[in-house]
Amino acid sequence: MIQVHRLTKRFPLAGGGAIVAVDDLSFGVAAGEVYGLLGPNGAGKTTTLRMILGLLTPSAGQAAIAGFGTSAFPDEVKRRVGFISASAGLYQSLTVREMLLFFADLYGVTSADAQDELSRLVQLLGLGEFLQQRCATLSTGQRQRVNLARALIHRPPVMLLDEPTLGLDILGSQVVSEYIGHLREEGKAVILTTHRLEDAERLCSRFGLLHKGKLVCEGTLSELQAQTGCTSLVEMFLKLSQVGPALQKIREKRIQAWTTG
Amino acid sequence: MDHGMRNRLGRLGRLVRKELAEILRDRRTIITLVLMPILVYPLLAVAFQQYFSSLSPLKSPIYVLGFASQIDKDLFVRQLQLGDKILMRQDPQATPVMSSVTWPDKFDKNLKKMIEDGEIDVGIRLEKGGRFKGSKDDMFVFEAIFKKDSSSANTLLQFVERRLAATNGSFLRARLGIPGLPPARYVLLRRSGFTVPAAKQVSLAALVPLILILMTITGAVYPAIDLTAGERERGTLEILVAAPVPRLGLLFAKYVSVLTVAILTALINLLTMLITLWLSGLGAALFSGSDISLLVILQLLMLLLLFAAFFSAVLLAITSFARSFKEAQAYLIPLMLLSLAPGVLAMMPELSLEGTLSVAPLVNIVLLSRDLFEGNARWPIAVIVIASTLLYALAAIATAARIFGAEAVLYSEQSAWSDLFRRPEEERPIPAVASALLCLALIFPIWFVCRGLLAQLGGMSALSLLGLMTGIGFLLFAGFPLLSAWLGHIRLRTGLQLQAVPIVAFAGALLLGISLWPVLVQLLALVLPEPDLSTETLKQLLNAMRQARADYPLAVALAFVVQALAEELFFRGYLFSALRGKCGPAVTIIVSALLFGFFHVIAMPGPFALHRLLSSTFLGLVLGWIAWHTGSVFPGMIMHAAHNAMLVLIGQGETAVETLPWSWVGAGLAGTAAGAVLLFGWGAKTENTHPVAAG
Repeated sequence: MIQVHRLTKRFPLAGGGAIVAVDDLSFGVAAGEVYGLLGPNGAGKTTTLRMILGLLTPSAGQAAIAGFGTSAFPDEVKRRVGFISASAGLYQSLTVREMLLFFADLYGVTSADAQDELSRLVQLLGLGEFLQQRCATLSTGQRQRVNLARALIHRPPVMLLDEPTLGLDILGSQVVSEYIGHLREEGKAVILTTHRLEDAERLCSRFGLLHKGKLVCEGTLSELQAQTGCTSLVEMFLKLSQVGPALQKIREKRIQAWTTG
Repeated sequence: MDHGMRNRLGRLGRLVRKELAEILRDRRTIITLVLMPILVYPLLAVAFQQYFSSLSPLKSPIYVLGFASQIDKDLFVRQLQLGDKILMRQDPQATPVMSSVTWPDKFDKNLKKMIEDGEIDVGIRLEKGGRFKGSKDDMFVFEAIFKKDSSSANTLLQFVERRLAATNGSFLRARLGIPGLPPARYVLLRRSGFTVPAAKQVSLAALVPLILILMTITGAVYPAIDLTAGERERGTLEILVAAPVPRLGLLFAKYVSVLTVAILTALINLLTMLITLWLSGLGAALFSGSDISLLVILQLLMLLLLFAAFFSAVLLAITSFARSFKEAQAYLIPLMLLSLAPGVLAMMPELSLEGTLSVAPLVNIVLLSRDLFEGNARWPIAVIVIASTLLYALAAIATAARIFGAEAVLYSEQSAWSDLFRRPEEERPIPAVASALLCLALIFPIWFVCRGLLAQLGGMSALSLLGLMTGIGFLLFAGFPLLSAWLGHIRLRTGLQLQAVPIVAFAGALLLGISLWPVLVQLLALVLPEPDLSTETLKQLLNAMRQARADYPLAVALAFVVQALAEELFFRGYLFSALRGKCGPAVTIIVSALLFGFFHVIAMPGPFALHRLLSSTFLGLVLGWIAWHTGSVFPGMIMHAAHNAMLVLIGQGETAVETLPWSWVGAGLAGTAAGAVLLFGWGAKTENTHPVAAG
């Protein structure tokens, strides 16, 4: 469903030179799969998601959704993607209902379909009590639920979730987590970035560990455990951040695996 | 209206509704929209009243009558005093006595100069041969010299005339034997007012543009910032850009919303201002005695619309650059100061609206509104002003659409502005509508200014002038689409519709090009009245054109052909394929034809404007149909070139309206029908599939 091929993004620096935020990144996500794109701050997770959606133009390489290249068919790609980011805001002076229907309209959903989907999402995410409130009056948890509904109103087959639980309390992140599980059951292809590694372990079917724009290892939890010799994601993270000799070994292994297989 | 079009309009309507809901629910909008004008104008009115009352003390003013000689004065004043007595007898209380008028003991033959120097309000002198001596009584004809738009002169004249009417009435009654005070003289007063030439006077009407600028700008600033920079600040820009909506549509909805608020604000401003003027009685003082008529209000509204259309677009384009409210405000303050400069320009009476100034953004609207209120606006220029302003607005929206949500704005911390102008790496089949509109908006003023400059240069032979004009036209119409296509990495074959077509299509197009013109000329002659060719410059221009055609028919024809090819490359190439990618056949053909027609009006304003608009739009429709049907720019080029060449070589040019012999028209009709059948039947290469849709 999601194909990323040798994606690279360089941000030129004012004094010359460039930061390579994403470096020759390739991976794929199938329908019904939740792919955890994990890594420390600045690893290039968000930049990758933005390039997949076409909000940033890649310096090299390309991404495709359902066979549609991001730069050649931007609208086809956007139509198929629900996008959530931690920084996404709401229209303060619109009511929740108005905001959701507005986005349904932007995605070309007919008003009858939008109404159906809205009542379904209201049930699922518990939006009923504040549906008629202006967005400015919502709490952080309520906002994130509205955001989730906003990203889902056009029934996208692909979800890109950039830190969907950032700033949420336990209860709030519980709702979101549950919903991600639900998305997997619905057969959507999901990419999730998060710093809550225990959530990720529970929700994701596969992982890609990013460090400084490069994919250092990829696979299911057990594959990763075998590759790294660590038992948990937290351990792997710590290892990753220190860039010690152990990591070097992993990299070599991966390159070997690539060149031979 | 086809289904897709209705859908698009419906969506635009819903987009606008959402933007408006957002703006109008904001407290800050309500403050600028309603509270400000309601508070500001009454306060201003109070201040103005204070100012006016300090100028003229509360006691009733003293008016000054001046005379050419002592004899004139004695005669006239005696009559006035008599009149005063008669009036006093009729109504002892009402009229104030002569105390409110004085006359200095200074006499001057040049009364006008005394008025201009402010020494007197009205000058009186006995007309030459204005004395008729009868056996029993005398009759005198006096002349009253005064400045037409001076309100004190008008008041004084009314005052004087009332008294003269009283004595004259009494004189006539005495002659009829009715008793009363028997005056011995009958005095006629002939008004002879003069106007001070506009060049020396700044009328208060010159203030109107400045007020209009302020009104529309205050209304548009806040929503423009809120709907662009505000989106980014609230974090909604990213999710908005992540939706599959064309930016141009999004920006257009924002434009309509900002425009609506700007107009609303201006209307409320205007309304409170008019009410204040009316209640305080300051209106007469501001508009030199004339009442605020319905026509004035209507003109004001039209101007408001024009100012609002301009400012809303420009403000949107500028605020699209901004990443926060603060940044947007920093950009807008210089713009607002800059916008006041043209407002001040309007007060320079020697500046007239013509030539390059008529396409100078904002300056042209300001000068137009000044001329309108001084009653000397000319409509051909007004058309240019309106057309160019709308084009600038379009260009600004297109720019805004390019910037709004661009990487550099969306993720300012990472991306640089230079990214905006970077050539995309991947080739695209068709250009964006915004880029085609931007091209048009650039071509138009450059073309206009070049023409004006060439006309002013002078000293050039007709032939070299023709060559230069053609060269510039070709450079603009072919160069801009090519440059824009290169910058946007557009595949030329699809982006300019450079598709191969069957030979039959060329034959059909050629036939149409040869035979359509008599039909068109005849049609215009039937529909339109004969234009007024009375102005001298126009006659010269037409003669020069006829002369050139007679002297070098081939050169003129060649120039027209080259111009046709270049125009096709843009109107049925770049612009057409951009529209085609977004709209159905009806919209694509009609919009491109209207823009084509519009351009030709601008190229030749004056009494021919309507002819040009109709004939060029009609031609544009035919060419648009050919371009749509064949999917190629080439048959249209052949037709347009042939059409132009025929007009030059055989016809009299598009501007001629002489009726043609019916046999020509018949032959034209037959040829046109045959050409159309050829094109329709065998002109399209494949099953009428657009190359883009096919792959």
